[in-house]
Amino acid sequence: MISFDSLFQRSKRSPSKEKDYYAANYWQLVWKHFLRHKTGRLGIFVLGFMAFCGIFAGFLSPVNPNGLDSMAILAPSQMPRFWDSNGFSVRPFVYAITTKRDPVTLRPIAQLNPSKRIYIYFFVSGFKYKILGIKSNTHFFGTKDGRKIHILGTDELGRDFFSRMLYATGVSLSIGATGVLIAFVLALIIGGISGYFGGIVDNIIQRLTEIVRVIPVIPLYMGLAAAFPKDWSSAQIYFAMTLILGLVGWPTLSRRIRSQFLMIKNEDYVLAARVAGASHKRIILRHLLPSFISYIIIDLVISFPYMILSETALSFIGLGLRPPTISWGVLLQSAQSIKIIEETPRLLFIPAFFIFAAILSFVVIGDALRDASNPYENQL
Amino acid sequence: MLRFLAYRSLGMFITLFVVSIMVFAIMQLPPGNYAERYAFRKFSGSSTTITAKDIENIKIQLGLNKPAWKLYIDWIWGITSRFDFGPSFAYETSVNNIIRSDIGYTLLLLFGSLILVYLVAVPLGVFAAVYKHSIWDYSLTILGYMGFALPPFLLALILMYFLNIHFDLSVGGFLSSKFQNAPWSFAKIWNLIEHLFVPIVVLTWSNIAFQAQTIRATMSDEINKPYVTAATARGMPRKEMLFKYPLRVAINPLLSTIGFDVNRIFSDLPIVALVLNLPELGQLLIKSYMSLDMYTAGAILLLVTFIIVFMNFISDILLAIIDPRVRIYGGNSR
Amino acid sequence: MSSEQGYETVLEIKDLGISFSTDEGDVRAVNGVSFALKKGITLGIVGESGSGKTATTQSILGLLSENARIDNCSKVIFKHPQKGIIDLIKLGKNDTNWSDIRGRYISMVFQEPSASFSPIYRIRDYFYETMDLHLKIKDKNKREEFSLEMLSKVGIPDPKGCFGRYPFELSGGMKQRVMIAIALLTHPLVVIADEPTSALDVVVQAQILLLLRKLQQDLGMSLIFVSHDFGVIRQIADEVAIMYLGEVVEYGSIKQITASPFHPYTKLLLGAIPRFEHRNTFLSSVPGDIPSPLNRPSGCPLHTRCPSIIKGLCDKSSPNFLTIKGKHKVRCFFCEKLMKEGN
Repeated sequence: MISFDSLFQRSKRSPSKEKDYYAANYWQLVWKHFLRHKTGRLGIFVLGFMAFCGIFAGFLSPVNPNGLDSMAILAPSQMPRFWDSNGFSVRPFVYAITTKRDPVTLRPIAQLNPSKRIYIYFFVSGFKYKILGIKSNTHFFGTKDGRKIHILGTDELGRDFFSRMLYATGVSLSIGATGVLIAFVLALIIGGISGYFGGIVDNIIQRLTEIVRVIPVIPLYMGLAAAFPKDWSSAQIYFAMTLILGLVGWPTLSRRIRSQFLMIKNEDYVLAARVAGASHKRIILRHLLPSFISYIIIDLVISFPYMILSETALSFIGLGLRPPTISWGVLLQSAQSIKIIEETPRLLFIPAFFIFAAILSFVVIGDALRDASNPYENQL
Repeated sequence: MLRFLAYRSLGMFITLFVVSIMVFAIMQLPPGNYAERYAFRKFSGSSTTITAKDIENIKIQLGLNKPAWKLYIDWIWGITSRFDFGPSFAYETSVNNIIRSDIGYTLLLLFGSLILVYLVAVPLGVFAAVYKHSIWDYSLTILGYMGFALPPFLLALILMYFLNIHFDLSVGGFLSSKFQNAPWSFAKIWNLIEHLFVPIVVLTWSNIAFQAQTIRATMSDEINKPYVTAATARGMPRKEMLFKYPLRVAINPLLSTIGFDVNRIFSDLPIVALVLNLPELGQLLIKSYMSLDMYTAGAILLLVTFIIVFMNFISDILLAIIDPRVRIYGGNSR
Repeated sequence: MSSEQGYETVLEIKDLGISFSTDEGDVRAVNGVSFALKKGITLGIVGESGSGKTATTQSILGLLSENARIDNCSKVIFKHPQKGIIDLIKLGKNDTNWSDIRGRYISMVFQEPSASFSPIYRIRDYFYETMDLHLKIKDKNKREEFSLEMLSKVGIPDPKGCFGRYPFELSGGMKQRVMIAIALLTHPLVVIADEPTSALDVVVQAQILLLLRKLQQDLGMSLIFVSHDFGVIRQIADEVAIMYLGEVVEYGSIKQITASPFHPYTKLLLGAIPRFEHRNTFLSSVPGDIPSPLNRPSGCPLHTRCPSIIKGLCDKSSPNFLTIKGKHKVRCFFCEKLMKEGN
């Protein structure tokens, strides 16, 4: 496969840094090689941005993401502006929303009212939130009088879409990360046992893994998700979902770990350690793991998208995370109705774009890492 | 060859056996058992209060008071001896009745998708491999990323939006309402094909990207092998040579992964079917999960897995036919 | 030199230059190679790996990879029995003329017999393929008879059994015999053997060499035999071209070269062959490594390793061919100096 990078121009390492180059350790080299990939850098930037949004979701969102606003159902986006026909303002403002009734259906229709300005203030106090355990109610921006502003409009229940996007990004990425972690631990135990001991143990584990993989992933884990009791709290469901995602991801990872174990365990230096009387634990931790950790990291990065996709798919059909937890999948639930998409396509396209961008970022980072993980090769 | 077939069939049965146990475990998973839900449903309208005695009676009546392993044997015996998948709780009829009408559409979607995958992926992958750094090559790279990053159900939603808004086409379902109960005619078949188009494109989307990349990778590997140079040196015209030599070998991984393709399609199918409102097994599976109709869900899961295992078996046979190494060295070479 | 000794030239290479463009830059693989192949003659090409032997032979049949660039002035002139003189360099990748040349009048035997057959076809399929392409023998019995005859000619003990086998069921030596049989099936004018014995055991190697020599004489064809092993070349070649870093440094009959090598590189190569009569002395080896073709040394390519280097001359300018006697030619300043001093 040609890498995404070859579509663009490849940057070349400057020869003046020759000395640093030869003195650098493995990870410094990997990092240097990684930074040469434009798309890899872009991927890191996108994910970094998303992670920032997710972590500081509470601080960045002006409105409680689960707060209903019956006066602004499917409201249009209130874009901050500095000037309009009524003149320029140093303080950014948005147009207020007025709700009319459709004369025929009597449905409320939320519209922007250009004659009414709502000014935006910074570091205002609002709803309470928690970031990394710290409680606060200061928000990056908002209104003085507690009026709600909807940068990206609202959904069919009048919830602020901008705030919901921020929270969803955080939840989806974090659940993916936890899922990857669990998959890794599972894979390390199962693949490690299989590869390190080999023989019958390996054979049985491999056959069982193959059989489990025969059942289609999403339908299988939908079954597990369907079994979540209705009275579970959102924290319990969140935890159960990470377990399911871990189950989704472990077979591929475990296969990789197994094959690495099988390949390396007969190397001379491992044999030497064994002859010297090192214990199983020591051989695994000191000799085997470090030698293929880079492969594992690449596989972890590549398995991230599967986690996100599975979470999104399960939550989308209502078998995964449930409100009040907000994830990309939960957000897309409102896109299930073609009527809502037709009226406000952004409820579909904005989450869809975020999912797309996040997955693409993981893929290009994975590609760049795979390229960079062998810095001693092609060092021209 | 006979030994090979026997070996493979044995593997198939062991796989199905283990799968059936897993599926049954999932069926038993939801809290609150079948009898309670049955009772709740039966008496929910009336003012009667349900006592533990009532539930006990229902259990005995339905034969559910047995231990799990006995229930499993009853269930699997019913399936293997009478093709009876047990009772459906939500629809209060036998699971067979509900599944029967949907299975045809499911198979239609599956095979339609498989055929489209191979029809598009093989030429695309081959062109990309033969004409390196051509428009084919780059478009495949981009398709590869898109196919991975845009999950099928999102593509279905996006397609639905555009077709609805810009072409005023209603996608969803298998037939327009006027053909729903009409006898089969040319017009009805055409209507069906029109409706199959979007779901099949959605289902094949990522599979095409994946398989075309596999073909490109193996094809560009094979094309540089000495036997290709040797064939050229013997005077084979290039096009004929590409078909006869590298393509014949490059097609092997494609054949050996038919099972995986079916697996992926079935994995995506439920949610796509839900979005596009297709009355087939995938959507039925979601619905039965939602209503905790576990016998129906289990039946669908088992059926789908059976199809995958069976397709794996078929792909093994195809591979043995096409590759003499597999045929001669048997199942051990893989 | 075309009419020397009355032999007719069948293939002539003139000023062949080949570069490969790679990620790391342009690699100059072959630089100004010329030689003429005469009818019924075996030409040996010797050189270390990376000396451009394979690129030279592959360019004859247009088998170079996509990234190869051949100089505009290069010519590979082939005398086609029906179509007259053809410049093979000028033929495009899909030129229909190729089907009349490749495998018909110029055949090739490759280095790795195992990799040169696709595992999914039987031996007989390869014979039938060649017959369909070139000989147009339609009768089934005749085809089989003809193939089996060829198989026994190359010393396959059980031609009938071998005929129905798959390549992976045969040993390496057998596969190489089969490949030779297929190459000779059409009675070609030229057979190019690119290291045909390098992947084989020593005993099998000797058998294959004898076989090739015998068949070449029986059928009266010309043979280009490429090897990195001078010992092998000595057993089979009539004339030898010694290549170093894409250039022919010395050319002559096998007798001239073995009896009186001129070029320092040839002397080094000959010194590296184990010989019974010198069993009490150490083998000499060529000092150093062949330089990367990415940065070819200026001047004479050998000057980085040459024991007889003339400082200020060899590393600055490139020597021209100097005819020693008959077809014996050498390209070396040191030899020029010697000749001048000798005269």
